[in-house]
Amino acid sequence: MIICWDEDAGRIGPEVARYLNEQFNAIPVGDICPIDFFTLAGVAIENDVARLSRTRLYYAEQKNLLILQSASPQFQHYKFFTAVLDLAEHYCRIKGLFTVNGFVASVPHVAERRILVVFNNEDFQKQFRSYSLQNMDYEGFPAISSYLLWMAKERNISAVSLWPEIPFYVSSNKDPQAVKAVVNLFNDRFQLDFDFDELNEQVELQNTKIEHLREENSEIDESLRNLESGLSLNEAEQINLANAVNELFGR
Amino acid sequence: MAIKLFSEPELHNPVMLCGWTGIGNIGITAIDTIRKFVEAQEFGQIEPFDFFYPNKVIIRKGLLEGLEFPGNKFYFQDVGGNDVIFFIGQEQPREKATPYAEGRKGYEMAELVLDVAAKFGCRRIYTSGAAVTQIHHSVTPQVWAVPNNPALIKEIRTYSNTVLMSDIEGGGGQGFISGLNGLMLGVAEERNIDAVCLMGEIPYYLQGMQWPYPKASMSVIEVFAEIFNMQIDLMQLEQLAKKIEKKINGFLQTIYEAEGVPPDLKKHIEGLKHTKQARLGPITEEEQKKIVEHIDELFRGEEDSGKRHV
Repeated sequence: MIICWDEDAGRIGPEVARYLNEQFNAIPVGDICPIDFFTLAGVAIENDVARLSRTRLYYAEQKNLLILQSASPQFQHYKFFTAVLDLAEHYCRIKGLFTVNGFVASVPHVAERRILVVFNNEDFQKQFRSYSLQNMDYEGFPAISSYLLWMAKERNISAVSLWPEIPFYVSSNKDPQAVKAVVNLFNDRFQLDFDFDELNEQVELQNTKIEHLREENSEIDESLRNLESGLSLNEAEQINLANAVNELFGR
Repeated sequence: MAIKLFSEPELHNPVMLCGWTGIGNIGITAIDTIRKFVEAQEFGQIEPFDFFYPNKVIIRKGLLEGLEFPGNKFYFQDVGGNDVIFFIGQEQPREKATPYAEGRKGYEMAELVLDVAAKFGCRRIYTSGAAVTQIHHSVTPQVWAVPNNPALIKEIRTYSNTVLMSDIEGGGGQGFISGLNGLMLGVAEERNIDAVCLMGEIPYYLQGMQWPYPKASMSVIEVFAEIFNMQIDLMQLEQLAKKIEKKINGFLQTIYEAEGVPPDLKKHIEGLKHTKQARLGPITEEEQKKIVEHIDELFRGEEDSGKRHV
């Protein structure tokens, strides 16, 4: 089961879910009712369309793949994750759980996107030794994926959370490069035979647009050159770059 | 979700002391200090899952090593010949963006704590918190006591340095205790268990601070020491109180020198040094709002600019 959260950097969750669902003709097979988990004081508007917070399970039969796309629960997390794990364990009898998350980083958009990982058990971690993944070290406030991994561990369900790097200045927009890194991993792992044409086009489009921006704006060009050289930017430079890219991609 | 008891000590007519986080962490500091001093033993907890989001994850070399939740633990010990149960809650369950428990979750938590109190035959519950008022941070805080049974008033009047709401100028015997410190009293009363809330005074200008206010915790501890006829070493708290007082002095100086703050503010705050009796409320709500807004600005911190590193 692959779990994709709606709200995350680079819109990584929804984009990974979209590519997988579309390419493998996944069909929705069920929802988790939002009462208890989401504020129901109204409805959010996204891209001009009203949409209630939702948790929907899709099944791609041709690849035996389950994709759970969900808004991050706001309340009763324990109850929510219990429902997800009951679904995974008892109804779907999954072999493993993967969560997709965005890791905002000070990296240039042209760099290869590392995927940081957290496993909930060593045996599962060993299975991924041959993949180029970066083990995470962290101590602090837990993300919802960490809570879910911990609960999965309590139930002996192997799980891993994937955190592809997302350049901070594209984090408010889609990041096809990060999506590609994640889908590539799934492609290898599950032998999906994924067609990367559309994703590659999107990556190319993003790079080309930013390249034009660099040609038109010397400050942006300098900021990006610094990032590409491994130097960090000060706060004003970061804000400037992020604003310019947001405007470029129309957000 | 459950109460998990690791053991069931034999206790005789115990009292229960409940400490939760809150303004200045006055209550939890007071009760936890006593707990540690008497070396109370842990015997149970309330499972956190229905009430709290975890507050810490530990990840090492790509492996999830642990997940921590706010603690909700029960301890027991003989204190001066009295069996005492301690309950320490490291967070109050919330349903909205406030620091205090309210609504269904708060009520459920109170009920679970009282279930344990009832199981062991507790004759009385004490909670503790903060009394926000117009005092100066250099004076020894009084303790405001609120019982859930009028029959307790006579006993409360024998406590040193302790006042009832009716003793407070402008109080008229009325008031409101936010969160679980208050909720426990109400829910205990429904279950015919006596309860008292002891609140240490804290200056109104400090209510938004992230710092503890050990001075008030010490006042509360002294009342408990009297109740249980015990001596307790307060040296560490005294040292902490001195450090905090120094910080407060520095902080106030910044406020006094800041733009946009009412010019009479310094006069009013410093004048509180000579106030004999606690009074309710700030100078005016508008002035208090300006102070709190300015405090927020101070704590947002300065921008870091001009640094570059690999």
